[in-house]
Amino acid sequence: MDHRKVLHEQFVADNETVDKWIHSTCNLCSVGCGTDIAVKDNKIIGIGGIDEHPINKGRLDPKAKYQWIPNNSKDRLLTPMIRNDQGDLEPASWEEAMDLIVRKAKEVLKDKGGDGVAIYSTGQGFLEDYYTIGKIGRAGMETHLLDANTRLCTATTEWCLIESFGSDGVPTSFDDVDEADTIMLFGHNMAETGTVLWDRILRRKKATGKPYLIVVDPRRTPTAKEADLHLDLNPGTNLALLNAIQNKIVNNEWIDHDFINNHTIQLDELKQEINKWTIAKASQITGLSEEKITLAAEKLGKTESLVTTTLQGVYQASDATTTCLAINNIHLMRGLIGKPGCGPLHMAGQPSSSGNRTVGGVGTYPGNRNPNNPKHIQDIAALWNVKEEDLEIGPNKGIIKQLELMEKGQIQFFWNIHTNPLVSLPNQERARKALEKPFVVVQDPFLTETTEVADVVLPPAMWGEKEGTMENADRTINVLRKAIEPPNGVKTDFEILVEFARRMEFKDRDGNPLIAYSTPEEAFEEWKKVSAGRPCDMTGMTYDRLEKENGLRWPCTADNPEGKTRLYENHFFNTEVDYCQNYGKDPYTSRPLSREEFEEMNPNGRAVFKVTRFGGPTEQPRADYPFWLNTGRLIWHWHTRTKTGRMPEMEKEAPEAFVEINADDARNLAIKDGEKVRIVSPRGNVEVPAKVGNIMNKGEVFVPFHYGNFDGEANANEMTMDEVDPLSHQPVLKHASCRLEKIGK
Amino acid sequence: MHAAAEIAYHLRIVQGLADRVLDRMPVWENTMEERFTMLLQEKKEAIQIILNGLRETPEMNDEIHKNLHIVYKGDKAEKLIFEQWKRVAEQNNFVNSDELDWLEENFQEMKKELKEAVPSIHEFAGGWEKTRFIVPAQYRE
Repeated sequence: MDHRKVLHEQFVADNETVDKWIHSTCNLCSVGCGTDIAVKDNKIIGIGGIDEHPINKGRLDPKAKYQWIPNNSKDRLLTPMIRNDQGDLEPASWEEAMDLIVRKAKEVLKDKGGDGVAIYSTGQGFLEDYYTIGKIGRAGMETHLLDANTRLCTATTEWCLIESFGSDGVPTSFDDVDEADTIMLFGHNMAETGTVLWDRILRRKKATGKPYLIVVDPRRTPTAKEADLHLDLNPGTNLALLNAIQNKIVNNEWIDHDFINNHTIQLDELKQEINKWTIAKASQITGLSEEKITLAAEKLGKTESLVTTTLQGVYQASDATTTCLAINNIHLMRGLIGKPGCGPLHMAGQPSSSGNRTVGGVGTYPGNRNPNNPKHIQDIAALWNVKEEDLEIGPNKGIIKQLELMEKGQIQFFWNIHTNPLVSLPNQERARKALEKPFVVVQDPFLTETTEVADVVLPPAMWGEKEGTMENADRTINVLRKAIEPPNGVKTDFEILVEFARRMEFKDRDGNPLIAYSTPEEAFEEWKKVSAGRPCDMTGMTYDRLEKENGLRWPCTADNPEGKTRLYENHFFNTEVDYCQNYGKDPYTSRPLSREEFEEMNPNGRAVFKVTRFGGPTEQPRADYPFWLNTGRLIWHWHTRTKTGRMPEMEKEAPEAFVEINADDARNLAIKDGEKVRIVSPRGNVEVPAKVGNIMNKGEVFVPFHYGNFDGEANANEMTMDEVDPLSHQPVLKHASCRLEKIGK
Repeated sequence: MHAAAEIAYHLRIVQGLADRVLDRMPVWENTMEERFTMLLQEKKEAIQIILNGLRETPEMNDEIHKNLHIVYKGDKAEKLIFEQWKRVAEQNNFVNSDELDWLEENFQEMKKELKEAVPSIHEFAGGWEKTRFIVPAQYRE
């Protein structure tokens, strides 16, 4: 039944009439737009934005309009595949595939224990899948090797929030962008990566003149073009800029003394570090004029309300977590947090990467629990009715460390769910060789570059063919109803995980199945109990409420059934020693702090000013590699194009990789627009056509990261560095050195 | 050997290895090298506090617990940073391979000694539940 009268934007296949519209959520970026799925005869034939949905008010991203097309692709996998003795993948039954997977998992667990098995999942799955991965991984396989492609996306978000405020969870929400006098988009090209939220900001700006927009980005992106102040700093210098701004704000007394005295600690320690950072010093390092930096500091120091967003220009750059900590520091010193129009809004890249962190499919223990706190491990052991000693506390290993463990033969079973690391990981040559070593299971609706190294491929259901919830970048939980049955031969991720647990005979301490639920909604109900009393408490949510209310933000409890628009409104932070999600790390060396050290700090409900010492990039341009290489997204594509590459409209807009070059550099190298160029880094090279213009500063080039296959399609990650931020372990994909060689037409 | 003596034996070796590496620094000065150098220095100092503590009161106390944490968690952090420093150095031919191999051997030797000390730490601390929050998983097997 068509339950809504008006859909703001509808995209339905030509000459089709819709039988019914089913409530869902967009499965692409982290904004989390409410959508309805158009169905006819158990087939998805279109999509519409939900007008009443508070996030998008009916609007849709260009990619979202076609996201149902890949469901109907002719090359979808409809049966599992197993690699045969000749090295080819051949169709197999589910029985054969699951039998082989379970046999291998048991063998490796017997031989290597939990250190031998790893699950690498996604930011595009459902909360119920992630929760099940966390439970199977930790209590079933007793491993600490749970990671996800969220490591490339939002690991830095999690760490900077834990360090400053005691737990994950963005303090602010999208509602605050409607109220802020100033918005700073730091390393965040929102016009191409979060189009619906960007549209919301621009509409207000055009109508009211607000907010004042500060954009920090080395490129003149579509976002930067709308800025009141664009800071096109040198690559790798984010923190140098912020240290000078912090210093200027403190020196000019643009700070909220009451807030600082009552609700924070360690400003004096921070002052000792930022005292060294004059505007002149920052100007020299960042390449920005002193006037521009001073103006930015004044705007940030005097504005009455401020939202600061961050994305990959921070997270995938050097000093990633400390840069975010500096942003948190600015909000704390100004007292601009926990009130309307105020707070850091550290974004996520993917539609549900935040959810994976929240429920413990990746990162710390479920419900923002601290793996270093024995009481939290006891909690989980009691909730899951398992032995405390069976829960491995790790610490978890990020994917780059996991590659090392594969190289050393330690990881021998690697389960890759809904992600394509053999396009997305840095230093592809190394990643390929490492992934050829273990037994690899790939769960993906299509054959991908990663299935080339798979021993078993499992075909899962896609968006619209399964039920569950997702968490967007502002803590909103949305429900996605099943619109149609998956194609014959295909199972949902949830069904696959539950079946794996059954076949592995994972039990609780009474001998009952570890995974006792059998539907996503039952899993959500169990998860709610695990979330109770924690920062991400969801006990006030139900699937029906999530549909009726068009999503709810956590925490959402019986006392607070509408959820929280923003956290820390009472200025009490999650830093009590037995409540916090982690004791934190030294922000420069990254050494984890002990409970004793955390107690000595004594934050006890106060936020923490973390010292933000500048490090800078390890690899820098030099004579033989004189350019900075930058990589990133295009508006037309999502990640490795597994889905958007199957949308003809998107492929038409951006069919191949290219390199953006500054016009002066192109002239010096005699490269004309459209001519082929070889880009060479210390790790690899690609050949792509040139786009000559003024988007890039001199000495810098940009290549989109969506492309790459074994047939020679240019992959930017052949050239990127496998270095990680020491705190969040997120790879530094935003800068490496390279040179350009003209090939010609 | 008594557990405390066994721990001291391994930690002294680690301290010596850390000294050898620190004496070699700087090799290729950059942020990563600075980080693992600071961690090595911190680890050395923590070991000295533990050794002093073991001499005075050969039983687990808060000071020894805290510094064992610094040693083990620091060693883990240092390995991650060293390994990537080494990769970037190799990719760019900034440091000769003999030097890199020598450094790698010393870092691995430190890890090996710390792993060998783990059973004694369990015994010294009075059980697994007291030490698994100090000793990372991959040092325990």
